[in-house]
Amino acid sequence: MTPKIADLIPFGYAYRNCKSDDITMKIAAGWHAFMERIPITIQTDSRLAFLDMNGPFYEQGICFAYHSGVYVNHDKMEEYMEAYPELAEELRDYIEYFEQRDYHELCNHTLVPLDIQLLSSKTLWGGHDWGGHSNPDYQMLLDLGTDGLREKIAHYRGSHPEKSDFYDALMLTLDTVDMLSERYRLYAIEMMEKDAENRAIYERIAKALEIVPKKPAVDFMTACQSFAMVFFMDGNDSPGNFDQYCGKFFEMGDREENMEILEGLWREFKRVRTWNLCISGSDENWNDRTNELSWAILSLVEKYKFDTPNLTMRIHRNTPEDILKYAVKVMSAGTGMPVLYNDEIVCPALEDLGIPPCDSHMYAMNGCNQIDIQGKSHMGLEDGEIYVLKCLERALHNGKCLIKDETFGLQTGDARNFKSFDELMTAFYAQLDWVVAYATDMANKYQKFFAEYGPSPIRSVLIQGCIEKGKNYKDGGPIYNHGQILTEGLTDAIDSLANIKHFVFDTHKYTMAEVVDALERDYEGYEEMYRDFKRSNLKFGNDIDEVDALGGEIQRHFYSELMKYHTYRDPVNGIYGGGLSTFNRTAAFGVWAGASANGRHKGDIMISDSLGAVPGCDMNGPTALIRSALAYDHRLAKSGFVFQMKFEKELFASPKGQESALALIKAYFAGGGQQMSINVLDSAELLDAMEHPENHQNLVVRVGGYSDIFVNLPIGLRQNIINRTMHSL
Amino acid sequence: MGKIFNIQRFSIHDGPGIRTTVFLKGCMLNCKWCHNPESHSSERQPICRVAKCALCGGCAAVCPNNCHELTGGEHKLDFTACILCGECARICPSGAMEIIGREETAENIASIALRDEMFYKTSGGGVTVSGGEPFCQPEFLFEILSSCKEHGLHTAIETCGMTNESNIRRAAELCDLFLYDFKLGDDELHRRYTGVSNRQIIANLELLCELGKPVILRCPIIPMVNDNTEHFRAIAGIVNRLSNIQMVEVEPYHSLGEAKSEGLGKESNIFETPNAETVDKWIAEIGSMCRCPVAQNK
Repeated sequence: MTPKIADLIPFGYAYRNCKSDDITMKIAAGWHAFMERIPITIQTDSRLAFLDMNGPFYEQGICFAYHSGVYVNHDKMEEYMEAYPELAEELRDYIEYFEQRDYHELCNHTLVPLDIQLLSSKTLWGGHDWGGHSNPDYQMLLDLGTDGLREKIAHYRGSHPEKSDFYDALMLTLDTVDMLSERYRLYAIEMMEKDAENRAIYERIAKALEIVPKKPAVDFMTACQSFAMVFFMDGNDSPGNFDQYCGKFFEMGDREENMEILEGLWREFKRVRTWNLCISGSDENWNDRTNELSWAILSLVEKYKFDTPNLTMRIHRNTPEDILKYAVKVMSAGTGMPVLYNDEIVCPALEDLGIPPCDSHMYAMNGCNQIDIQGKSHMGLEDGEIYVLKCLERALHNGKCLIKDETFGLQTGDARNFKSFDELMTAFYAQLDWVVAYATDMANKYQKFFAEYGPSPIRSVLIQGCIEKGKNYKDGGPIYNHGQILTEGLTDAIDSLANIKHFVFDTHKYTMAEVVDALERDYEGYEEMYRDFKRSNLKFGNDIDEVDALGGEIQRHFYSELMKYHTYRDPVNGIYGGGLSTFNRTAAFGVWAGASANGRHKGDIMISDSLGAVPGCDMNGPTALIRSALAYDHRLAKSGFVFQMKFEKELFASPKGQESALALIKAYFAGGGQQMSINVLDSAELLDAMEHPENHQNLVVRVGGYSDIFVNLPIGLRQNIINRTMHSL
Repeated sequence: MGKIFNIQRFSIHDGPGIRTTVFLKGCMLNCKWCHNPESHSSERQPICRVAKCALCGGCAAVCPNNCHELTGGEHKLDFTACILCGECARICPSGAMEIIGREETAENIASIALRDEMFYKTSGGGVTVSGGEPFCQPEFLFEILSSCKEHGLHTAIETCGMTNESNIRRAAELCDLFLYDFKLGDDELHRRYTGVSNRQIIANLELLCELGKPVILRCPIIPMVNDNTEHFRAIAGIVNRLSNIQMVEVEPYHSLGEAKSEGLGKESNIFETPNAETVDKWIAEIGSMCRCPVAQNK
């Protein structure tokens, strides 16, 4: 039998046939139609009821995701057309309709040749395919329930009569949450009879759903159930300060039962790949907010050793010593989590953007390393990215990309003729500034598309400001709408500039013409220069004042320049800030840089990891690396300014290793560091160190009763350590 | 001014906290198990770390005295012909060739040490002067310790204790902690395995006790040499007699000196590396007799 289009692609049908022109309303209508129809089930192992959007929702013919807006699932649509040829024409019409509303397509259609050249050479990235992470206000959900939220909407809708469709959309979204919850409640009651073995679990869920999400949470079960229903519906992004809004409930009632619920949720976080969860931290008076739930979450990180969610722990002047020690122990035991953030730097940095302390202290991380004000902002996304080494390449080769062998965009003159280091720096800054202007402009263009085509209705309800202003989450609704632009290849650029300064302008061993020529030829015929550049110890990460100061100057220039630009989301108060995290993309970026003056061949993957040294270039140990990292002004960073230390597993596991790690963390944070994560070294890295010792000069490992540099050890012993690491992982 | 062979930042096994350890060149003992053979001679010397050598032949090309022979996948260095010009070390792409030893001023050492003051503060660390044997260059040692003390840094020395009484008295004034070796209780064996008598060493240790200086007693345990109850009793005897000894650190033999000896063109004595279980047994046995904590330096 031929199904109805409304049943086959419920989201698409309801969206298209929604009478309103308001985008939030259209998406809310689509959402509602889907949630009414989708078959539901409860995984008893998770102890909670919720709809995992990762399965059915994203497998529809027409989908919506918080990070990519509305899009067509072509495989699914093909499948439908084959199964129901009689609907093919109508379905094709739907495909066309939604392609015109597909954020990616819309972005791609606007690209001019220069955009494409800059994007494909990885010089910049303008946020053209990513709508970003968020930490909705789950506290508000638990405090008010959907009923309370309805009252809030009713209160504000009078002030914006022209936005009645938008407010209807928010009301409909809350109805959808309640409708779906009621479906789960009835299902749980049904299952109590059918699945006697798990009767207690179903009964607990059914009882909780009698109260939440309509009413405020009353205990840990109702808090988690209410949270889960909405969190998973929103695409399981980032819970944010979970221990804060659930902490008081966790401390109520039966501890064992609460722990069981938490563990169920923790396993689900892992299964669906939840992004970022935050614990501890300070309030605006620097009182510590660590609670029993913070401890319980750390214990689960230790127990399960999941690689997800990213666990963030906020540290400050009053963080209790015992939880900090435990955090270091947990780090050493597993995957390097929790990642530590320093409230003493992050909060003032946010206050510099005009965010008052009561809100700056409510920051939470989302995604990997993005900073948001929980429930109040839309800033925790990558609006764009700038490849600093590529900007230097442009300055050295007059706007030419050495990989594409094409010249495009700003030309700053033939560097062969530069007579001083200052002249080179001027050209470099001109290129960097030009790319900053270009990247923020591009990001703004795409923010506009997202505002018009892709707001999440749930976020418009649960991010403060949207209801008050009558504006959707993507359109400047939230209270804070700053932007974040990330940085790639900064250290490579610093090392390259330090070498050029030394070898060309200080010692006159080479001329600018020779350097430019050597880089264009990938050092062919310039082997000695390559060796000089590669072996030079003028590299960031070694506590060399001159090099570190150059790095600090570049970062200050770059991030201050960024802050001159405003976001589309809030052209008055929304400021672009910088962040630095390369994620796992150093190889991908390396491919797109020509030979560089830090003694790096064209396409070589040795691009610096976040704000650390280029692999193999830090030779003076972790304290020197930390001192170099502190040459930056971390308070200028408005997103994660990521600093990774690496400890070999056994060294980190030893009492002395943990004490030392703790001392390094404290010194780094006292010295103004924003973020630190300590990775436990894995066997893959040790194997790489066997093959490429030159890239791992600073790798300290534990040998018997003491520690030594791995690459200095005899081969047999190195092999033993590898075996040991592989064995113990 | 003195001769050193390394300044190690983030040193975490040479006294409390995070430390900067300065390794002075030269030693008057000749312990057969020495794991820092590059420290022994007071002169500069070349080292060829065979494990790092990529056999590229760059060294042979630049050496003015043809000291490098690379044949059959082996790198052989003529140590007697080397004039320490350092050309090979400068050119070596893998860092296998190195000239060990350089002149350094106490002032410069203190300024490097001061760079990590922030880490000493958070860890309770400081500066350790090690070797070689620091008392081989006593004046230089005192200069380093005074410079560090002037800046308020915690100071330690790692010593075998082989020096005269007045040096010990002077060091005690400048040094907060002694990491003091106790290698063999039996004087005859001490002579055989280290080349010197232990009488002065033990007398100096007693003097430190009189002076009330905190000592961590470091006991290398070498299989078939001193891994026996008799020696363990000797350790306990000293510890229980001298109240300034705060703890005993057991240092089980490890083979790292062997490859270095080879790289320095020296013969090495091969001992058996004990397994963790054996080490634990030693610690338990020594611990059962001593009034203070006994542990492996972890």
